[in-house]
Amino acid sequence: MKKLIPITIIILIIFGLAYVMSGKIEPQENVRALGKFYLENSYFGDYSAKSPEVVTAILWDYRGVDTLFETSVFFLAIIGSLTLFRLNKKQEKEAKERIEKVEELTLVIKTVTKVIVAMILAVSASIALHGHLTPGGGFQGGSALAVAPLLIIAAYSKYALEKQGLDKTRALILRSIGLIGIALIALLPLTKGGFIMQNQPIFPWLGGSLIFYNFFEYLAVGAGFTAVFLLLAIPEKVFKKILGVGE
Amino acid sequence: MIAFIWSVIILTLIATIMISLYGISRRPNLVKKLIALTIFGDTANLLVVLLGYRLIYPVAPPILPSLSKEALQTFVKTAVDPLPQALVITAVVIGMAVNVLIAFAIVQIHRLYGTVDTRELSKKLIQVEGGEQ
Amino acid sequence: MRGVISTAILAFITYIIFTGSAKPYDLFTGLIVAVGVGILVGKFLVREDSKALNPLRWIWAVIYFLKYMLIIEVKTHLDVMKRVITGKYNAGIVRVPINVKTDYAKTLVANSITNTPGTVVVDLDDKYLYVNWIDVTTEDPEACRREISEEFEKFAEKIFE
Repeated sequence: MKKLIPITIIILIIFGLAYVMSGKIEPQENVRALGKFYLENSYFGDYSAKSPEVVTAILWDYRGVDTLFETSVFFLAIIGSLTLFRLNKKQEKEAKERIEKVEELTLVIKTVTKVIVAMILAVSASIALHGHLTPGGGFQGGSALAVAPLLIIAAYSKYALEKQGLDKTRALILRSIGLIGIALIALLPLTKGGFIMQNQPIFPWLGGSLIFYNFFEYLAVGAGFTAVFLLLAIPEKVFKKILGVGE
Repeated sequence: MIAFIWSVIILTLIATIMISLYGISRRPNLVKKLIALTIFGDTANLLVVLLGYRLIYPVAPPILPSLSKEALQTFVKTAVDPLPQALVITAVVIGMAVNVLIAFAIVQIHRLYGTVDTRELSKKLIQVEGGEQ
Repeated sequence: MRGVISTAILAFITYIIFTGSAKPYDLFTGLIVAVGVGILVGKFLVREDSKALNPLRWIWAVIYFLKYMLIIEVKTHLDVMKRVITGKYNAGIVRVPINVKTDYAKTLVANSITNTPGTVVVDLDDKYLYVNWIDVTTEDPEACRREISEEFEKFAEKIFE
């Protein structure tokens, strides 16, 4: 009851203001001039980026440097998270050892997870590789890819993932490969007299170098989140022992 | 009527932003602060996408339906503004990464001090500083 | 290189269905992705290649899918509908022995039981399924098996064992 009063007041204010406003504002029916420029030029036109998907064209060509720096913010955020949870070599070994029997989920979930993981890998690759045709791209595909290790951690355990070779170091190496790939492809146009992050028609089909940007971004985002999930999956007990607090 | 609904949507988003700001500043629990922050970020993104929307009937996503020049004219007439969407795509992933960073910090604080309540935390921090002197 | 081909086929089909078009670009990238996925996770999915690629098993799987969706589901739905209207039910958890051995067969049986209305698998161990049944007519495990899971097990054996 106590919470209802403020909510009612807020709703009343919203509807009252909306009633006053509705006569005065015009619902927008046109795109702004800049948006129109992008819509007209993304595939045809003089400033073509060779992509029928206008959002991807803006993301990796027209405003490419913007995206490059946003990717570096992503890089720094992940680095920051890893620094907060940093372990030295001995401690890392300790974190990889199973201290006690971990409660695993039932057979049905495990078996279904296996099949689902294979399908998630295919679907996320499809999202990333069709970034220049459909509303997908590297970011979205990478986020979908990170679901696969998350499912394995939930259904089996983080030790199962590490036993098969995907540990934190490998994930970080994969992420670095992705970021280096983005940087190299961004610098590639400079050798041909273009400007940085210009889209290059090096691919025989549609899209030019957008495909490669999307693919490397897919790798970087997916592997970055995998490393984070692996760190978060370390049992609390192990971490408290390493930090020397509690119990 | 459409103008009324349009302004209701915009005002609702602004109200959500204000409520989440209240949550960020007034809730003592760090986890609740983080939840309010994610709500704040998502609402801001939605507001930005809304800026690029068009209130016309056949409205299309900014993807060329076919690769012919004839389709371009109708496409430009119906497609929404792609620029806010491009900005939001990166903002979402960056927001996610920054939230991960904050979540890690909160987890670490909980491990070290055993609490995520800012009032108790400040007391404990004073204790730690006092003990070192 | 165990299981690469069958996993690749699964990944390829998923890829094409999700993409929703089959232009040369989609087929080409799909092929690369499928082989990659097959190499990465194939060895966890498949134990014996000859089993996974046996067309007879696939035909049985299709027959089972059609029969399950068109006959068994409809029958149990009608049964549960009748119980909902008349209010005659006698729910309880019974123990059902399971005779199939492999993981996939057990999963198929358990999921088939859960997906039909009126029965839900609550838990399972090596020998028994614990099934929440809407109309407990008998508590004898073998009789329960005849009532609940015999048909599923028959097909699961043909498909996966």
